[in-house]
Amino acid sequence: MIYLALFSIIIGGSMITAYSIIENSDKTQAQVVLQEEANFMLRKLDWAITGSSSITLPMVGSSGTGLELTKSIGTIEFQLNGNKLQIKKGAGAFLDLNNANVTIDSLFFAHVAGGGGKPESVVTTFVLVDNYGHNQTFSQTKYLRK
Amino acid sequence: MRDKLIGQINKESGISTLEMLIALALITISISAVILVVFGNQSVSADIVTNNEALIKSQAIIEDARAQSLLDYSSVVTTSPVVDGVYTKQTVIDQASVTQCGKDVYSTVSWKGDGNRNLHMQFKTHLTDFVTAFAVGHCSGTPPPSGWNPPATFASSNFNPGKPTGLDILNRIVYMTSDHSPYLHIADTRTATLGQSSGLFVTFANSFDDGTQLNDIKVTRLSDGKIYAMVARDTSTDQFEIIDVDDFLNPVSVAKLSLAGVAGASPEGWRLFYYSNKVYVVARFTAGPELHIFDVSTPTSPVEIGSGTDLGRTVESLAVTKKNISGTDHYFIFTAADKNSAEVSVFDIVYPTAATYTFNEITAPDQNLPGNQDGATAHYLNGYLYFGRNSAPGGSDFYIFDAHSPQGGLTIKQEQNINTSVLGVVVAGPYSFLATSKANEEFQVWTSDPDQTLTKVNTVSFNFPNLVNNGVVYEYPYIYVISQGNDALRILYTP
Repeated sequence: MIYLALFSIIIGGSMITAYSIIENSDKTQAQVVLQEEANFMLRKLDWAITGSSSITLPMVGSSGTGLELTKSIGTIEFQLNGNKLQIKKGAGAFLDLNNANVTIDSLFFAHVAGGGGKPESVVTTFVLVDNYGHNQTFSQTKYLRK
Repeated sequence: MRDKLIGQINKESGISTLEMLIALALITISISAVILVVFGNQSVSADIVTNNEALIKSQAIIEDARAQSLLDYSSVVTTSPVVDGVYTKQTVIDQASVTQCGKDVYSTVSWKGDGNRNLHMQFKTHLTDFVTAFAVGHCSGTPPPSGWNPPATFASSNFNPGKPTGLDILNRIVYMTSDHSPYLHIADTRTATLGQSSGLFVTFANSFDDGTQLNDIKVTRLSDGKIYAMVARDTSTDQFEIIDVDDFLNPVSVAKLSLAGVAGASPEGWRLFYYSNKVYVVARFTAGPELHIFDVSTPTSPVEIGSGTDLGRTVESLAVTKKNISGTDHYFIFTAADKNSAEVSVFDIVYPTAATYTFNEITAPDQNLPGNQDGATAHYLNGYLYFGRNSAPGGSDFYIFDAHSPQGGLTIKQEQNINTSVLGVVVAGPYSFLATSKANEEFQVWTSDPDQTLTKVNTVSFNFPNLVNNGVVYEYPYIYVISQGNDALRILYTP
């Protein structure tokens, strides 16, 4: 009996442990994916805004879920479609920027007028949610370099 | 038999207890391992989040510094650490990178990671001072190589007769003024070799001769794309002249103008400074206005703006910078002067129209330094004024002032008694290169960091006597120094 009890405890404990470890590992992986997805989107926005000559949307002083700007290579657009941030270059089609492992809960672009000597800027804020429901807010201010 | 049985039972009971203890130990070890793994996972997870947050904060600091530099380049300074949640943020300027038109800025974010680990993230970018670069027309954006202990002569050359009076460099062409015909001297140092001791000065193909002593010179590329030398002439009329030196073998005088209303004992052009299509010319203390501003937007037809301003002192050296205050561009003239109550004087110029200016001597930054010794040289760099004066016994001779907000006054950041007159100063990177009158060690190299005590770099002396006021200029990787003894021009380097 004692051996059976001990065996049950050890096996049961091992199962629970293995489950915890695997779940924890999955959560960590989800967290890594969330951070990397956020980084990718922020870098893509950074690239688009750097060197842009003008911002068409949103209007100066307003905000919205779409961003349209002009670069030397043409027009670049960003939009929120469902839970996806999408990008479009020129007359091309909109392409997803985030994968299926994360969703965008909210997104807005604020077009801030230049003032106090600083150039106009775009403030991007979005909330990213991973498969476990963990969410994180990301925000970035990018000044225009004309 | 009974005793035997009891003994066996007791033995078996003992074995069970031992097995349970072993099992418990195994369970404990297993649970401990699990806890470590779980906590390790949490630690990794937390690290990922904090790393990314620090990354975003670090980039934000750089982005902000870049935007701030467009407003006021010199306002991007090393800041005190600021606590932001679990993070500590700081902007750091690398003094070793500071030149007239650029500097490296670091954004540092540090935090305590899991297990009390010290973590930090640092980004670096190079900021360019476009305003100054365009305003002065040229500048050396690369800091000097490290070393300078001792400095050494790379090349030298002399012209004889004549003593040099002024110096400027553009793209390794050296422009000098003197007290002897042809009064303008140009040295082509582009092909100078190590140890060369003659042959740098060119002979003008068109036999150019300015006809009178010249006291100061500034060279830049003006709006028509050509290179011009602007000189202060030692005459009572036509004290300001523009010489086309685009073809430096054939200089051509394109304009001469008199300083309006100047009379008295010292009406000659004395010192000048070029900034943003305007030339600021001063005469020594004399009857009439000492300060004159010329618009050289059209180099061949310069125009004096207004009719001069009375300074009531002799300015030995001047530097100009622009600051936008409440939407208005203010041009601050920092001067080293002979006024006892204000060896450092600052003047605030505003241009309401292209043809007029308002002048304001702002007294807040006046520096009444100990003793009556005159100011001798002034060099403005990145929000700081490097100032030298005639040797003040027992007092400081070399100063660094915080000049970020000159309208509110200057504060002494560093000062040092170097036991000699500081005749000229130019600052690049971590070094202040000084022309002094100290026997056998006239050329000196000091540190330049406004936040560190001024320290002499070249502990091995460099002997180059009879150096000229303001006669030291930097253009990567050399320092150009002029002397009224020995060689007129020496190009110094760090071996």
